Amino acid sequence: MTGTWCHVGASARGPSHERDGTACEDAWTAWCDGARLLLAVADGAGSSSLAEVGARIAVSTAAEHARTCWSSAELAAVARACVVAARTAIVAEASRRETSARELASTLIVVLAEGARVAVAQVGDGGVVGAVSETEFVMLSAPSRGEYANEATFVTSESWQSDLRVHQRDGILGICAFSDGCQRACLVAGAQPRPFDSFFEPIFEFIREISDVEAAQGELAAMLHNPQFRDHSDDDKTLVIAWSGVTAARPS
Amino acid sequence: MSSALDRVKINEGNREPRQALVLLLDSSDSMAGTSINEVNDGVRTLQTLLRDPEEATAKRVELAIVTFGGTARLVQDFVEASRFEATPLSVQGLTPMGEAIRLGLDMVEERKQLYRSNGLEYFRPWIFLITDGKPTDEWKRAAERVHRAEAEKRVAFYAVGTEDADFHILGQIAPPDRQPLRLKDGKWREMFQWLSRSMQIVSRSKPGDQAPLETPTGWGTTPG
Repeated sequence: MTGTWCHVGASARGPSHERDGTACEDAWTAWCDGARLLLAVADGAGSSSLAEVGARIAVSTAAEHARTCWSSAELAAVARACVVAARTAIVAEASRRETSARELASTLIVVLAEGARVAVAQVGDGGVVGAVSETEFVMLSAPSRGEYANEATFVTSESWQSDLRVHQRDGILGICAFSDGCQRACLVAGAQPRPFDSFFEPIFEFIREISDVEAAQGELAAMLHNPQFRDHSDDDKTLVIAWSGVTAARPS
Repeated sequence: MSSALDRVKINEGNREPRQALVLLLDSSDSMAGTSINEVNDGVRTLQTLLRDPEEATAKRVELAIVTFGGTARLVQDFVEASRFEATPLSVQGLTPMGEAIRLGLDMVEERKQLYRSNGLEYFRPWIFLITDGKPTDEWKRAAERVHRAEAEKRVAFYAVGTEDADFHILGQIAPPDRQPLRLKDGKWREMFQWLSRSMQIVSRSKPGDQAPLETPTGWGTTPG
């Protein structure tokens, strides 16, 4: 059973960076090609001087690697390889700039979908939620954190390999990938975070209703800039949504 | 605006990450007069500054106070800074610092357990000890626990002594990487202001931040 994927996404610079006059350090990209979809979301480390560069390299390298090395039979392995390629590219750029990779530190989420199968590879926080129907949602990949709220692992960290999580799941109609600026808003926290239904139901309804993608992109960006989101988190926020246009066959 | 996006609800149930701060305050006889007045003023300053509406501290910092004078006593169990009301401390007796330290360390671990079981995020807790003398109870086991907790990054332990404090002992209690400071004469307010600003810095630090603190040289010196 195959579906055609479509996607819409936006990033919003958070109040904290607005006050500092610094750039948004989130980056994202997406492409789709019939039944195939790639989403990538990255969040540059606040304390890194070239964070936005690291984040942009991460997502563009991941997207390029997926395009050239796609394998329907090995989605999860390709997703993992996208993360590895992103890390290599960041390290190379750091070397070119004669600085340490730490200055380009970034988290990275890579989502590959083909039909109703989705694979996610992730280092760091932010996460991915999947829709198994219009009203039921599952964690496809959860944020990782150290014990403390200000600990994080980046693709450039020493421990990146042990932090790298890869998941694959079938039966997915919709995907939402988000950076950590959104995660406290859209997840129910706990030992096992889970999707907050009242967030995701309207989000997936929104993408199903889209007729004008550019206008929709603007509406999504406006939402991330609205008072509700701004008050909730000072951080940069990125939200990328995808829908496959397949109506799930309900089990009888 | 699309009606669907208007209906997106944010989970308000996810609360702010917590910054636990335990003050261990010497309330022994020798603190009578100026010193305890300064401590009381300082705690009131902390209350005002932590409640600053421009900062995240009011909702993130949780303050607890243990005094050690005669006995070690919990005078304030963890309370959100926005709801903390300072009550004046009085002095009595000798200096059971060892007991106060053990109590502070136990409280920190219990609090972290509570955070975890409630799905709350938290920063590395602080213990901030102020004394004008030396322990009159068993303190070596307490010192060992402090060192282990620091080495395992379970807590950040700060010790401050006034002019008359025994820095030979305080130096053995404090972690090797964070030696005690001697309070400069009359710089109590500056110390409490530094403490509030440090709470602001750590409690808003983002994932991966180093969050460097301001140097304490305005109010403290490293005893020679």
